[in-house]
Amino acid sequence: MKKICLFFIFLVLTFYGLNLKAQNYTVIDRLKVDLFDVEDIKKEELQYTLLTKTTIYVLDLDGKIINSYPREKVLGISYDQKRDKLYSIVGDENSDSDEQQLKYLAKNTSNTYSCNIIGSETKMSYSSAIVYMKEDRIDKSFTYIVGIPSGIYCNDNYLWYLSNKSVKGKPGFLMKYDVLTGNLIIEEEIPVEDAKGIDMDRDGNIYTFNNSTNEIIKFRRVE
Amino acid sequence: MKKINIIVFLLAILLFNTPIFAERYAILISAGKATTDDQFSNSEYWYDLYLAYEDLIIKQGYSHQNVIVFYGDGIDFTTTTYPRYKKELHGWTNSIVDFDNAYATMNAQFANLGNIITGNDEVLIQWVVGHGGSSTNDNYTALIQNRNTSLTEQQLNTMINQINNYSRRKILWMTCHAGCIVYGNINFNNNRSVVIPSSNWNQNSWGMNFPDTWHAEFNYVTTSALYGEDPVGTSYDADLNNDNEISMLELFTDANNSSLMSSDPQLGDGANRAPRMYIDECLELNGANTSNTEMYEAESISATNYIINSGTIANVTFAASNLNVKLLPGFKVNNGAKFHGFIGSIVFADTKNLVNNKNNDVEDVYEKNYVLKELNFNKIFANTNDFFICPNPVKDKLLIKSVNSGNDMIQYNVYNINGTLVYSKNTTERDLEIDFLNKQSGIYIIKIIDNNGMKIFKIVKD
Repeated sequence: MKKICLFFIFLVLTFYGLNLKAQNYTVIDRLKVDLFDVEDIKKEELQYTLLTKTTIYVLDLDGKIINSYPREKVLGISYDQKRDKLYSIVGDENSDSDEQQLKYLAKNTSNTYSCNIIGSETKMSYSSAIVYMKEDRIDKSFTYIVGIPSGIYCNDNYLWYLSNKSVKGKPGFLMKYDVLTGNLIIEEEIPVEDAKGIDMDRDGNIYTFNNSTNEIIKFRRVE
Repeated sequence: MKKINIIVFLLAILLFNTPIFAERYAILISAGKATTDDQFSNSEYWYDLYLAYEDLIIKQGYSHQNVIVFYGDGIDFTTTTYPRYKKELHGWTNSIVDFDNAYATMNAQFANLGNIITGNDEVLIQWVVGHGGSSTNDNYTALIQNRNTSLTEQQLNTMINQINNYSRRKILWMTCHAGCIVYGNINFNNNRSVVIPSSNWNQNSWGMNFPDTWHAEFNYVTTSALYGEDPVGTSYDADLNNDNEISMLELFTDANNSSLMSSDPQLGDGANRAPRMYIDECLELNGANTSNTEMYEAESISATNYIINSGTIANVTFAASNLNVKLLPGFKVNNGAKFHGFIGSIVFADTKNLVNNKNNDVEDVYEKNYVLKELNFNKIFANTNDFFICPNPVKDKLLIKSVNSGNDMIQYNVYNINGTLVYSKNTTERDLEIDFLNKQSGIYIIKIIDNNGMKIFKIVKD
């Protein structure tokens, strides 16, 4: 009996250890929407803005599409909570995968960030980086890119970077950097597969889009 | 012939009584740390390190204790879901990693190794994978990603040059802008080294999600070339001269020609030693049939069914720095051809002339494992011609200059990127000017063939 108990405790501890990463986050809400191939998502006070390959959609908090605009040359979007304004980064998309391509946008009081992607989902340059933007040009690198970028968000203290493993059905990874030092503070698996886009509200809830289930996922870190 | 055999026999006895102890060392540095599978700029810090280590142990015959590995926090990445990248695949029980990749740790260990590695030893230094940057060819920095610290080219040069006693040094370096290490005032070149960076000084280096997961392109082609197959077991042949060994030149040429490479690897080769320098220092040549000038330089060399054909050009040299030269069944030097064998340090010319520029038919001694030694070793290297080309990129005129003089016939060939011959000249001129004004922009290969072999340069026409 004693042996069985010890074995049971061992099993519990083992599985607890294996699942420790997944337990760092908990899903709060899922909202099914009638959209697919979403690349970025921003959560405003009373609406969502979603970027797909061709269109920018505005959805109410129930997921109903209330407006849409051609995406044209929008490469990334960022929502400024303090000013209640949505910003975009606009430019030409490069068809040549060897050329650099800006994607995604994040702003705080001091800085504007984007991902300078050199390559594609199957071939990436080791110079690909999250970069500081100065007016309409790349100023300097913040940190080199890890994985395939799926979104960025920042506040005045931290920058969150979402990386997709580029394999459908696999969970995304969320990395948290100190904006002053560029040091990586946290790198954790999130409970969302095929996640694209990231945003955060004032309460620390994180929003992303699951392209496998066509859902807006609201989740947060269990501290 | 009998006299020669007696001399060989006496020298063999002398050498066996006064052995030269030499070692092969390899230092692998992975400038990051894997935390998960299948993630660019993360997981390959382990996968590519593992492939490099595996090749050295399994294919190149290095001992575990002579391969020093710096990685992450000094601990193997054991939670990978790929059995392919687990040490258990080969039944290894000890950790692959020896030290963490902090600069202080590496600097201290290079200092230690500088005291251990002697002038007879060979050393391979491989910066396996990492990020690098530069704005000129002389201000290169390499990032240790998991520590968010960058090392300058001067720091790196000073660190690795703490190991300054060695007979041969091979350096493979994978980062963006890695070509800086062979250009500019600060570089890793010297006459004992062959240096292959993954890209030119102003170029990115690339990773690819192929054939199973993320790898740096340079590491995929180099480890596949050395291992003879890629990570998923597909056969990979980079043995251009079919001698069953991959020289540093073959490694460079294969990487440079690979359709999977997006960058242009460079070659730092101060003494034209790349054709005869190998990662595998125990060469086992088998089944070759040559009529050319060839030189093999390794810790030990054996040749089986190796035929050097008749002819004035046929001129083969085996230079073993340590153990032995073995001429095994089927080794044959035909009349008119030349064969030279040496044992001893190539840095300190302490060898004695035994067979030099004589037409030897040694077919009758082919079953004997014998040891040859030559004192005039440096003479072989004195004949080496070094060529320089400039400018690169070229706009109108390409200048080719030789540092040595001579009257031998030299063949200059220029090929475009498709392999089409666009210029050819046979001449005794050692300084040559080639008109590029009307040539299309792009990459060109310059091949220079003289009595000492072939040199290959890659240039860009603006």
